[in-house]
Amino acid sequence: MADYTFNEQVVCEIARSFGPDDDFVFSSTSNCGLVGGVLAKELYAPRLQLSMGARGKSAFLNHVRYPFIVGDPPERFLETLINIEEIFNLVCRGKWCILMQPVQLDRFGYMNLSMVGDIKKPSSVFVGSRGVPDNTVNAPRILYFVPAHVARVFVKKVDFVSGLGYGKERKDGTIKWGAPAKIISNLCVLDFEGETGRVRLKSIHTGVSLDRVKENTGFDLVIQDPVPETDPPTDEELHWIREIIDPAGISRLDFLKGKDFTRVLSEIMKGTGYQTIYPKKQ
Amino acid sequence: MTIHKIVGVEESIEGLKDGSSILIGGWGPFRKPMEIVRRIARSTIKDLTVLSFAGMDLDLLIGAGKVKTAIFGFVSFEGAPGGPGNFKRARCSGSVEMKELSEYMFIAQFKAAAERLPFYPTRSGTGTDILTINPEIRTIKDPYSDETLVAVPAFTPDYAIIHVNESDQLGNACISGDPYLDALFVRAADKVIMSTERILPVGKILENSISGSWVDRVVEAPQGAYPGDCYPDYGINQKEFKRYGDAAKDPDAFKKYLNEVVKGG
Repeated sequence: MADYTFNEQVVCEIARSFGPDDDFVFSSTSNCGLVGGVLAKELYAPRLQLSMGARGKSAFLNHVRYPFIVGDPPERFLETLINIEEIFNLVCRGKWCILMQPVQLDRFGYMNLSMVGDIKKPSSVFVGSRGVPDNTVNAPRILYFVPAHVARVFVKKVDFVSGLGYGKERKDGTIKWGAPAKIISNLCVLDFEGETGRVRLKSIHTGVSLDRVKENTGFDLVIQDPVPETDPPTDEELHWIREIIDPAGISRLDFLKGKDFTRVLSEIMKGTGYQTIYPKKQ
Repeated sequence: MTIHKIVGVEESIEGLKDGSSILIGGWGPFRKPMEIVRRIARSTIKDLTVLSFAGMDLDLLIGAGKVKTAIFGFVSFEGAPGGPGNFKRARCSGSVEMKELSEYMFIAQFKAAAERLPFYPTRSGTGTDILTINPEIRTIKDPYSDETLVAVPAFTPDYAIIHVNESDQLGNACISGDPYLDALFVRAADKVIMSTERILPVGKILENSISGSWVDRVVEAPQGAYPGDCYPDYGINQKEFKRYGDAAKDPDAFKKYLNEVVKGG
């Protein structure tokens, strides 16, 4: 088995969330999502359409190879351009799947993107719930990505419900679509227990201890015995990621902050990122 | 008789008064009618209700003390430097009434208004705290299936204010990049103020994004979305966004910024 980095593990888990019958758009707010989407399309889900901002609009993209600046994809990757209104058309008809990064996520998968603290007088505020209330009632599938798995994110109860998890609205049949399917973090993969709707530890990444996951989760997970290990990246997946889709390693950026982020970004932009993270190909 | 709708920036906001509601076009830092927003910030008008897929527009008006109620689908600089410091402070302190909606609920209230319907039914918002903080939004039972839906009430703003790439003197307008929701916004509002990068002769805009039927005033404002983006004429001015973001972090620094940049100009 090849050596790999945890960002590669995350990218593979995102890609494996899709299959040959998935005929919808996948959009993401993270670099791992961008790379994972391309990997999915190349290996597992050829009908998946990938979308991101382009030329003052949004685009569907084909056979994308990174890096390039979001919003400015080279011409050869463009399938077509669409407007925001078309995105809402796709959202409402259930053809828009999205990978999002929650501010908070609770034990039933309810998600908060708006604020922390008291609902009337929050201690910190974010961009707002945005499309989360729309996506979590409409999407064919919702994926969450948590680059830093900490108890501040995985809370017993979210301070503000932006997005639906598995609660009464789903149980009583009011809401049929937009269910969260999978949460992928730097430590593990989570999904949901069928009957209770509680967040379950699906698998744990190689080298991560169960205690570390528990300590960094603010509620009791449903834990299987024994806990499965996340399938490591295959040689084929690693080949596609390293040699074809993301040789500069943009998926690293999601896990970096401040000076480290700036340094790696400038390496990537200079085209030198490849040598700094992977051994040179013989 | 020939008419035209062209007015200058100064008189563009005539009729706007304390307590008016304004719906601002564009998206985050993209194609916002910033020239007119700055004109409002310079005015003595107060207690506005501002509706926006917001970026610097809403944040600047909050910082200038113009906003009583903010109704938004999001407030974000969407990756541009800086951030909405005035908005964040106002939401934490409660100094401005904040009506957060989902993106689609924000749209739905104007879909209803544009068709003169009382509400627009949607599943968006079901089970979320959007309904907790907006108790006036009610649910409705589908008369056919008994399903419970959210009934987003129509909102007819006094003014919609948008910025476009090209317009003629009658308000037939062309938007070169994403029109976002601007074509809906102009149909929802009572009056429409539109700034434009360029004015073209009548008959030159045959493929319009917005027909002149909806437009009341046309303002020639080259660089009118500055320091935001107006694709493809110009992009985001990164330096000015950073300067803004730094100033917006602190009320005193922002007062200084307003005096220098907004009122001084």
